[in-house]
Amino acid sequence: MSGRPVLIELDKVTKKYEQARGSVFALRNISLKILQGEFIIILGPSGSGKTTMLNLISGMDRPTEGDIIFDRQSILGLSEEKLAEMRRKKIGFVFQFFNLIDNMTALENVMVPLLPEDLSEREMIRKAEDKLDLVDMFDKRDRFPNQLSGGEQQRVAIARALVNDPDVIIADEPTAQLDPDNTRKVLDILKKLNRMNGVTVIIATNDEELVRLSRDVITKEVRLKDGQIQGLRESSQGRSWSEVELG
Amino acid sequence: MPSFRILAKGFSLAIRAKKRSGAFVILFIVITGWLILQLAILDAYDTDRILDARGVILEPSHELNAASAYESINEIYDAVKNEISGLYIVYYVEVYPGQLGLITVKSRGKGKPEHIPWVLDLVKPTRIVNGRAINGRGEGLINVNALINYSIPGGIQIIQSAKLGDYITLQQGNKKVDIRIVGMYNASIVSYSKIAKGTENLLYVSWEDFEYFVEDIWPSPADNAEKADYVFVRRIILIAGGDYFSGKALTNVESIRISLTQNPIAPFSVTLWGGVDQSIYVSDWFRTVVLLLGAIILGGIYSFLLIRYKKKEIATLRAIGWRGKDVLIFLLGELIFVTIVGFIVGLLGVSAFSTISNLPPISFNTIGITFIVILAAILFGYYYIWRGILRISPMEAFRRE
Repeated sequence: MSGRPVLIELDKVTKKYEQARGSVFALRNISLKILQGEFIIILGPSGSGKTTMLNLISGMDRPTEGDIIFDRQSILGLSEEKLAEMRRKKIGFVFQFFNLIDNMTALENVMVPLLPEDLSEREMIRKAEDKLDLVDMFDKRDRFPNQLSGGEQQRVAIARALVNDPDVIIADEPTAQLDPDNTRKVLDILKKLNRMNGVTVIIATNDEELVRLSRDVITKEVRLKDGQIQGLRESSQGRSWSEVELG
Repeated sequence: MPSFRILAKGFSLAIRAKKRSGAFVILFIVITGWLILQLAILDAYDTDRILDARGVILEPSHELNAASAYESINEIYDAVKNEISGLYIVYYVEVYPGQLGLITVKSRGKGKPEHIPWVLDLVKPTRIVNGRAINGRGEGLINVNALINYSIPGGIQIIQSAKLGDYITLQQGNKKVDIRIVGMYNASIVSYSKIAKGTENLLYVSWEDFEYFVEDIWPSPADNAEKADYVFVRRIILIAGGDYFSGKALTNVESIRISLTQNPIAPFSVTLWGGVDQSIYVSDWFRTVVLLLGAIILGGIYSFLLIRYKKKEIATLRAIGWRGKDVLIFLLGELIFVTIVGFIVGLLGVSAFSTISNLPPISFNTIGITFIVILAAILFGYYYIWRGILRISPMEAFRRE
């Protein structure tokens, strides 16, 4: 694992919000390296800073201090337009509440990230159908979100996240709304993508069960509390776990 | 191409979101239809209703040829030139005794070409029961059920009907004018008998055709049709100047009427006059402004709801890498669809309704202004949507519901 290039690096990242009652630290002095092809779980209770970390990694927010390097490029100097392009081309997002567009079919939802691209309609459909096939939702491509179960919606959302062949998938509580059976299915897809396609997966969750179910693929387990890393464990895809000493 | 595709996607979502967009399409149909109607009402003050609103009609007490009337008309013009925006004369020349006459309208002094089709109530476009108004030379209007009865030597009679599309050719030697019947008017109104004075059929033509007939085709042509002794003045129409809003138009109508009643210029006398109460015009104008602003505000309300309803959607699109302008085009697609469909259906509805009822005519100006209002509504919505998009952070996509 250590031979792989670094995809994302958080370098002494602090994020604080100014509020009427003073400054609130969402993240404090976080340093973390995410290698290409890793499967990372960010674990922590509500308010621990997981979502803030995802926001910063994906360039949706900027750190108060420190730097974030994405694919050898600091995101601090990038314009909003460039950041949007980076998200569109390099990152796939999976949200807790799926965030599908109600009046679009599954196929159209998967095509959404491609719409601003200069691709033919045929090419877009082909790519979207490929990804729907990958998540076993091809047969339901013409259904609208309200005609799909929660698990099916999340699989469509994963297909949408994959349609631009991203380097990394960022998933925020991807199974929080799912029953155990669908949780397993969604997780299996993410594992398969990581193993077979080498896609880097970053999951933020407060669900220990998810960690247990992903044990075989996890390469890093980051435990956050009050905006700080409380514990960091590394493993070579489920084998030989080691605690990393925090600096 | 991607922008167009995103716009088209916005259109298709508007169609699918039937409940939301459907309600607003109906609101836009109502407001644009009503606005078109209201603009047409305002427009009619200077077209269809110009005589009611600011006209004063003078008629000669006896048959008067153009030669004799020429100076009297100049006197009338001088007497009221400060109060009028135009003086129009209805000329008549006989073509076949008792059977066919030509009529036309000519302005003298100041006059507006766009008023000419409307100042003679007999042939104004809204009176035409079949076909359309004339559009320059070579075209004419004739009375419905026109029958021209020619008696030729030997006691033979030729009865010729004139229908839409027929040509009436007036010829003398190698000089001729061909008039194609493009419309037919109703001859049962009072004006017809006053202008026809016993002639069975009146062919209304442009001044140029009339002048050519009088000055070139007539057996002993006159140098100036306006001074020819075989051309008759059948009516003088004065259109008062001044705007309705301040009440000046009404004041001018009153002033013209009093001036020409107290000091008549023989043999003309005032036979009819109009005048619009300032308050009626102001309320029509006010209603129009309210509807105009209403349409723009409705665009804003729809945009507001669009932003509010689609907050999560916008955040998600931005999170997955759509640029602000992509999201803007996407949402504008919905707004443009709703407003343009509202405009088209509203326009078609009012147009259809105006042809079967007694509504004022809908001019290109009215359509143009309404379209500009719709564009303003879109522009207002565009501004609102853009502000909304900028306020919604892509981080909202992660927010718990």
